[in-house]
Amino acid sequence: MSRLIFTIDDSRTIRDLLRTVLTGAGYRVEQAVDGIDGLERLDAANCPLPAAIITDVNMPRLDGLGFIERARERTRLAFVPILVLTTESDPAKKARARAAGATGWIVKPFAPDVLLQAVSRVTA
Amino acid sequence: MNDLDAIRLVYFEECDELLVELDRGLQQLAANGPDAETINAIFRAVHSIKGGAGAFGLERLVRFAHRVENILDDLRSGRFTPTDATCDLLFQASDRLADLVGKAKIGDEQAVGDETLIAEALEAHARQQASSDSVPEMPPGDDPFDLLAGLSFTPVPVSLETPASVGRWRLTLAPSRTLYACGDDIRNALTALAALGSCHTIIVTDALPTLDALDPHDGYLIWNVQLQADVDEAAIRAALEWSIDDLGLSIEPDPNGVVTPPGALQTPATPIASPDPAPSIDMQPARQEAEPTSQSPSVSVSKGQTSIRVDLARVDKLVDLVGELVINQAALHQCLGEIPKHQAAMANTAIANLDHLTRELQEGVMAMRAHPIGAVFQRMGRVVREASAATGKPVRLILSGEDIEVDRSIVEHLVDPLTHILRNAVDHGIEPAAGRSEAHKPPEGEIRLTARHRSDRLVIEISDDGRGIDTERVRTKAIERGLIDPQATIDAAQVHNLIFAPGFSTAAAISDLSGRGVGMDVVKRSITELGGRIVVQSEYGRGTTIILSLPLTLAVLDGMVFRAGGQTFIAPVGHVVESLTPDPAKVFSLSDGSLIYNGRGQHLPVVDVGACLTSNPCINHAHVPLVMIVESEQGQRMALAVDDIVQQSQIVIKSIEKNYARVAGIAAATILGNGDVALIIDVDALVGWQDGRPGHPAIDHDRNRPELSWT
Amino acid sequence: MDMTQAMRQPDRDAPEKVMVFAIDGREYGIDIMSVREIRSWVTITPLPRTPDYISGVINIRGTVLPIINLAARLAPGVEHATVRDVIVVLEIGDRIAGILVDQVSDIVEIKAGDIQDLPSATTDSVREFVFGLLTHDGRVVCLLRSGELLPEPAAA
Repeated sequence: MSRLIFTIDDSRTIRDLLRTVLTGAGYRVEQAVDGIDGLERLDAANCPLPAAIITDVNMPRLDGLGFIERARERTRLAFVPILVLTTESDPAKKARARAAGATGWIVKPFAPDVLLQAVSRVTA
Repeated sequence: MNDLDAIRLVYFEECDELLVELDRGLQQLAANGPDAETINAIFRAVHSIKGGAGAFGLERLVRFAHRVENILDDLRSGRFTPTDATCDLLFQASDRLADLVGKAKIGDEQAVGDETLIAEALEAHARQQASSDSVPEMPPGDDPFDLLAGLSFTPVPVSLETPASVGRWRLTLAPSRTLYACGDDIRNALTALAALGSCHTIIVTDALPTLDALDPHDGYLIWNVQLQADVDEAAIRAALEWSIDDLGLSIEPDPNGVVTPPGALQTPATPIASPDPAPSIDMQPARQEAEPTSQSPSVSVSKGQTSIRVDLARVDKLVDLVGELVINQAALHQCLGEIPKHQAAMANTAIANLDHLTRELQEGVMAMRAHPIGAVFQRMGRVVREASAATGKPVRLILSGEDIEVDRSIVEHLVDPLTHILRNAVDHGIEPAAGRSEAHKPPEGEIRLTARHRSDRLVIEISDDGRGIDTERVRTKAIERGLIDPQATIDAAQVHNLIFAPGFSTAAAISDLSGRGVGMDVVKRSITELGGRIVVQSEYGRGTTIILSLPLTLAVLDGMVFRAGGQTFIAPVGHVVESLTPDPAKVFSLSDGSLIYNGRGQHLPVVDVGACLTSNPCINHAHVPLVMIVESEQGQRMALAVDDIVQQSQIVIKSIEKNYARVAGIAAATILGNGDVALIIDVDALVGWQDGRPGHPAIDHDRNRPELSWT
Repeated sequence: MDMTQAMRQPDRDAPEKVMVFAIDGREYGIDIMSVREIRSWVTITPLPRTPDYISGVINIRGTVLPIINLAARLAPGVEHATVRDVIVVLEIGDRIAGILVDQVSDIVEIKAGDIQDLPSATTDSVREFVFGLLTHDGRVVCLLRSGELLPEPAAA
């Protein structure tokens, strides 16, 4: 069974891009549209533990950093690598992501190779 | 279509939605002032447009969106307070964003006007506001090219302070518990280092406590790494970028080369693919081609599992199939009708269930094509703003019913007619400032754009508080142009609707009646092509309302099947009031031979469907066997003389026009259970027909172009 | 509509094969590329207030298409039999229509030079629909322009 990557983004375009690139590389992909949706889906009893989570930062209801903080509070998700998708190259913002518990980040727009490298780096 | 093209389509589709969100947000901002959630929504819309644009290398769009986003970020963080001027500028920016998206969609990103002027105006405005809000001036926005350059998650900054490449490094990694708390693993850092060159790693276990004192969440191990790689320190730091603060990292050049002390553990130095040194903006789906995705590009999960996106062509195919199903069902009914009743009882129960299921299936499929009309309405905001700017008349557009859903094919075709009507309303309906103050109206004109459901139709109203239509002027003009008989007694409503007559007027000809004659025949034509109707109501001096009534779907309708003149016809059930055998005492003939039926206190004209649409009249020597009372869209009732009412049934609409032409009095065709074609009558077109001929010219001003057709 | 059929554009100037059929004892030919199918009897639903050469509409597999009484189209005002046995379904531009004929007799391959111009004395009423003559088995076949058979949508 291929490994599961869980992606959270409010933009359908980005979700589709992520799905295409990731499934193209042989991953399974589950998706959520914002932080709340992501937590609900990950908390669902039938949701397998993902090999990694990729989340956008700017989202309605619960943003990416809020999502990470809450995910880290859950025993089940505490050590799952979480990559943050960000258009910000500002180091302060990256530091905030790290402080929230992000494993790493991918700067948008991302080339497929870059995305896959980042994923394989945390799921190796 | 490859995957990327498919996603590109998704992107532009999403952009349309985001632009609607943006517009809605801006309208809220303009109406209710700054509110965190509104500003956030506006910000997110622009942000998402930018994000996707970056993925497709739409640099110009990225650059502009980025500048707008910066201003919105300032708003969001309260660096300045928005004013009306801010909203105006943001509306302009939103319009320009829409232009850029539109141009990018057709691959013509170069050919747009100079959006930098708007960006500059916006930035200057923000600076000015910020200083007048006595908040320190905002920092200049990031250069958007930073974003484009920062494609890789491992950017390689060029640092002048760093010594040139040395080749041998000694690294100590003493990761804190934070590293693990971030879902990270020292392995990831070691793998990243191994990608740079060859590593010899020694684990120092000195700090490892006894088992009872061990906190499983903490890190006790220290890794000493000897790295042999032709890189400088900055590159090492870049490779460890994500976790650099939590690794307890120290880096120093290694003068001694590789030393492997006895008993030391070695991590296997399996390098992963080296980072792409020059990532390109263009997404090349190379990997997807090597290993095809399991997911078809035309079906993709959109909002998690709560919604899916399906290629429109697939839904259309379903719509067609449901149509075929309905026809086949009619065929079944017909077969069953020929079997003796007692033998058909069970089959009849089964087919009743089938009817029910088919209807649900049909409604379900049509719901898949449903689309909120808000998307079109929001675009009208811009139309009105532009018309308002062009004429110098301040006008406010008030929307309601944006959530009303309607078949997608109809939504798409509403843009042009609505644009035309709204422009006309601003241009000719709303009075100039002087006129408004004379009429004791507020200086700002008001146009309401409303959508609502009425039985099985969508009703859109465009009403303005302008000067209205001067009935006398229209009447005079119509007589001059030979459109109506000077002797004709026609009411105001009929006069108003003359503005839709082809060639009725030009703006110059009747400049002060609101000039709505311009192109209104074209508007009417596009609405009737959708199976819709258009009506105007106006009160001179008070304003004008244009009402569009459209079918919710273009495919299936509930029809009353009846016979007339030996042929089978269908009347849309929505038009049918009742059918009855008229009491001969209530049928009167007038001197011209036409008949009147007095039903429920109303005198209704009798229209003989047989005489109108076949060569066999239904009325014989003033004997009317059966009438079906119908009501036109404009509320005019008439009694259709028919031979027989067969049944009510769901029918599939088939266009006649597609392969032939419009036919007077006929809206479209359908296919009966036995495979024969039956014609759907156009109730509105039959209003006023007498003796089987199209009637009064004042009402039937475009008798050569019947009002309904379906495609 | 089938894609391959949709892409066929009848080239009326140089058909390679024509289908020959008879009406009232005269023979006509039409580019085989514009012929979609040949149907025997189906119920024709009359349309109100249409030219008398329009017999009505029929249903072919869910598509509603008009039927042209070709005899009346070619010679208006003359009494014609209204009942004919065969419907030839044609593709005319992007529309589909049927023509009523008595019988389909042959398919003829045409070589360059087979088609003769109409005699110069021919009237416009013939020229409107007939673009050339073909001699086949000693009989004269009038070659039809299918594009002219249906009225323009707006003019109907």
